[in-house]
Amino acid sequence: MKTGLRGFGLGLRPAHYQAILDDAPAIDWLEIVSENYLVNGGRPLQMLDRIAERHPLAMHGVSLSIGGSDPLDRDYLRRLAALARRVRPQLISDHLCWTAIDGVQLHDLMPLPHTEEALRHVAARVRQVQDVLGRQILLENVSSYLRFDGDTLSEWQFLAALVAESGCGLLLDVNNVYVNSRNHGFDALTFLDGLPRDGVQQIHLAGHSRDAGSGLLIDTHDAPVCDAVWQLYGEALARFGAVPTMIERDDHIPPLAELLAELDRARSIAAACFAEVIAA
Amino acid sequence: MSTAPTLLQWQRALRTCAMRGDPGALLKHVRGDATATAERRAAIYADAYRLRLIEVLGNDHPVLQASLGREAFAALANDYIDAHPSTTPSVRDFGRHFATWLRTVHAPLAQIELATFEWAQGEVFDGRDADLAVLADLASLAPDAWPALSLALHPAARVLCLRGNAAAQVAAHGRGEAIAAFVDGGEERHWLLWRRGFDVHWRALAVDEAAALAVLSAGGTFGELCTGLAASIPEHEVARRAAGLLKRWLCDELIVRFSIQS
Repeated sequence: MKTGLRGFGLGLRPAHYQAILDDAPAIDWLEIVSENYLVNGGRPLQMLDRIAERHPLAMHGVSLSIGGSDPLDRDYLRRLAALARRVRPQLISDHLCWTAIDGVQLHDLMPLPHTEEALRHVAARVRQVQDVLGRQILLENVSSYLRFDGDTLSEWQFLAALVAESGCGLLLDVNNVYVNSRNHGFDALTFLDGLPRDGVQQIHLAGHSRDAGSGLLIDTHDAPVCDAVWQLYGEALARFGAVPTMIERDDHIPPLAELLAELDRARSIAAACFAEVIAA
Repeated sequence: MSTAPTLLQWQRALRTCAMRGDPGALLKHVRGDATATAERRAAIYADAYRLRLIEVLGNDHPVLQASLGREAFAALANDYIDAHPSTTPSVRDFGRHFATWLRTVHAPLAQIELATFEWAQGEVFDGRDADLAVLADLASLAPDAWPALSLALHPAARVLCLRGNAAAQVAAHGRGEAIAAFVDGGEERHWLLWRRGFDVHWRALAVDEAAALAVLSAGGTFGELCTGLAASIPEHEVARRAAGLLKRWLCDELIVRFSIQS
C-alpha cells in the first residue's frame, strides 16, 4: 500500500455529521474539503475534531491554484498547514488546475494548457508546496470543457511528466477521466494506460450531468456514479491495484445510507477485480 | 493559427471569458468540434462562474433570497459579483461586502438590514472559539478587585444596529412561515447575536445593556461599565443592574475571560 489510507471512504459533508458520529457507519476513512474548515471556530471545527478522533482523514483542497500565474498564496498555505497539524490527515490533495489570476478568485477548476511551459511551471510550484507542507501532495485530474489548441502533450502525458518532475502523487478521479474522454474525444483506457502505476494513490468516484445545450458532460457531483464510470473504475483497479477509493457528492446530497450503498458497489468491484487477479 | 499564448495570457483570456462572458481572446486558442462549438465550451465557464457565486450568496442570505424571489436575488447578486470579485481562497468570504455594497447602491433599507443580519449570523456561526468564564470564576474575586475587572466579549458575538424587523423576518423563515413585510421602526435598535454551543441566538438589547456591551468591546473595566450605567439609572440601582447583566452574559456564554488590570 502506498499511503496510510486503506479501503473505502466518503467525502465528509455537514449533512452527514450526526449520522457519522451516531451510527458508526462502515467507512474506512473520510475526506474533507479543506476550505470548509479554514474557519475560525464554531460547529465545523468542533465536529471535525470529533470525527477525526474516530476516522482517518484526507484533506482535499480547491483553492491551491497550483497552475496559477499569481505567486503561491502563502497565507493560504499557512492556514492549510495549520489545519493539517490539527487533523493529521493521511493525505493532502488539490486539483491540477488554476483558480485565481491577478488576485481574483474564480472558484472554479480552470483548465491548464498541456504544454512544456505549463508543466515546468506547475512542477516548480508543486515542489514549493511540498516544501512548505513538509510532505508529498496529490493532484487530481479535473474535468474540462475546452482544450488549448496548442497543447503539445495529452492530459495523461502531462500528468505522468508532472509526477516524474515534481514527486507529487495522483488523485485519479475516474469520473473526470470519463467526462473528459467524452468531451474531448479520447479513449479513457489510453488515459489510464498512460499514467504511472505507482503514481495513483487515491481514487475519486462521482456523478455528472449533461449540458442540455451542447451535450457536454459536466462534473456536477450531483448524481450517483454511472455504469460507465463503474466499469472504468474496474479498469483502473486492474492497473493501479488496491488504491483507496471514495465517493464524492456535493449537490442533491442523499441520506448517508445511499452513499454507503454506492460504496458497497465499489467494494464489490474491487473484490471481483482482485479475485480475478489472484485466480490468474 | 494565431501565435501560441503564454500561460499567463491563456489564464487572462479564460478569466475574461468567465467573468465578463467575453470569449473573444480565448476563442483564438480553442477549437470546437462535433460535440460542441468553441463558443459553447467557453460559455460553460462563464455560466459556472455566475451560478456558483450566486448560489454561495444565496446560501449565506437565504431569507433575503426568499423575500426577493430567486430571479430578483440573482440579478442583485450578479451586480455584486461584478462590483466585488472574490479575492480570497475560501468562497465563504465572498459575501463579506454584500450588505455594505447594498448601501452604496442605495438599495432599500429592508435589503441592507436583512443582508447585514444574515451575514452576521454566519460570522457568529463559525467565529473564533474561546474559553468561557463561569460564575464560579467571579465568586472568588475580592470585592476591591471588581472595579478593575476587565471582561472580554466572546469573539464570535456581534452587536448590530437595525431600524427594521430583520430579526423577526429571519425567525419567521426559520419556522417555515411567510416572511413578514419590512417594517421600518424609525429608530435604531441594538441587536446582540451570539453563539451558545453550536447554535446562533439573538435578542434586542435595552439601551443601557447596549452601552455596557460597548464598554466591554472597547476593553473597558467593570468599573467603567458601572459608571456608564449610572448615567442612565439611579446610582443605588447600578450595582444590582450591573450584576444582573453580568449574570445573564455568563449564562449566555458571552464572556470569555477576565483579568485584573494593574
